[in-house]
Amino acid sequence: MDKQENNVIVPKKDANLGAVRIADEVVSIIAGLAATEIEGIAGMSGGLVGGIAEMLGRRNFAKGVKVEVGEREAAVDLYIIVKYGVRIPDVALAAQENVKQAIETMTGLSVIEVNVHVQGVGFPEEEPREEEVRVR
Amino acid sequence: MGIINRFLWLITAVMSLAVGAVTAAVWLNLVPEPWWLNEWHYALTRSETIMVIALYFLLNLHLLACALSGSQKEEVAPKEFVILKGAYGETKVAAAAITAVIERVATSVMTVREAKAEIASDAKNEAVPIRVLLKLTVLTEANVEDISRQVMEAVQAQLKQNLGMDKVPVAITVTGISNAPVEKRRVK
Repeated sequence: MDKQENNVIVPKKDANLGAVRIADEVVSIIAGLAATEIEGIAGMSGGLVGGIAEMLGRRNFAKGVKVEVGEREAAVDLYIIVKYGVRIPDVALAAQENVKQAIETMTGLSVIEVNVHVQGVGFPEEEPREEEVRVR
Repeated sequence: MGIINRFLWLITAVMSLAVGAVTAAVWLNLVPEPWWLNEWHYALTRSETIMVIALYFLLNLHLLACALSGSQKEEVAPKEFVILKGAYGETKVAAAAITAVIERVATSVMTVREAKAEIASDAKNEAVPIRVLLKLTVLTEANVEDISRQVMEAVQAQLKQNLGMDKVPVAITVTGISNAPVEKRRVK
């Protein structure tokens, strides 16, 4: 089976039924959704383009995810923003496990590595005290 | 290319476009010859003309030097530090994330008004691969020795909780003493 453009061809046992093609973006979306399920992750870090797309109302589930997909294996890089106060190694490990399991379950690819890049920390919004707000 | 050079490039591009448009208009006889000859002669008598030409020449010279320069400073990627190498892959934390946490912790200590943190790499130490350089501005009534110790302990405790690194070296420098009131935002 050969790789066409950015699609992954997963060979089926019965070749007469055809081949299953999985786009790289699909793998990215699976990884992104699996990562955001983790408690302790405030969001994904997507850079300028991702931020503008979201401001225009278009949700980007692949934001903050880079994937390298081969015929049978995949490598994932996650760019995340963690919540203030969490233990980053624990959050990263949970994200790695969840992403690996999600991709392997849904696509059949073998995930060789999931690298986590913590790009920022999300601080809780300070609640304004009523007496300080004089104008609206 | 930096923002300044891109702005200068914009100016020279607009000037070149204007010159090109005028030249095309003259060539196409859109502008009567007596008219543009008169304007041309007038422009040659003005000192502002030579100033504009000199400016245009210098701008292009600068951009040419930038284009031919072989020592352009490359965009530096955000610095990241590896804090964990596990079975599933590496975990890296950006310096900006670490400094944000440190500065928040430092400014939460009483009498610390401002904090500015920098992270330096300590590649020889695998367990704790970073060093913190922290610059503080404190209030006039602060005891610098006590404040430094409190800030150091608070930062080390927070980094141990967040990164799992024990006893991160923290070098504190009190760079200023200020009694100016903290500005409160009045409107959303």
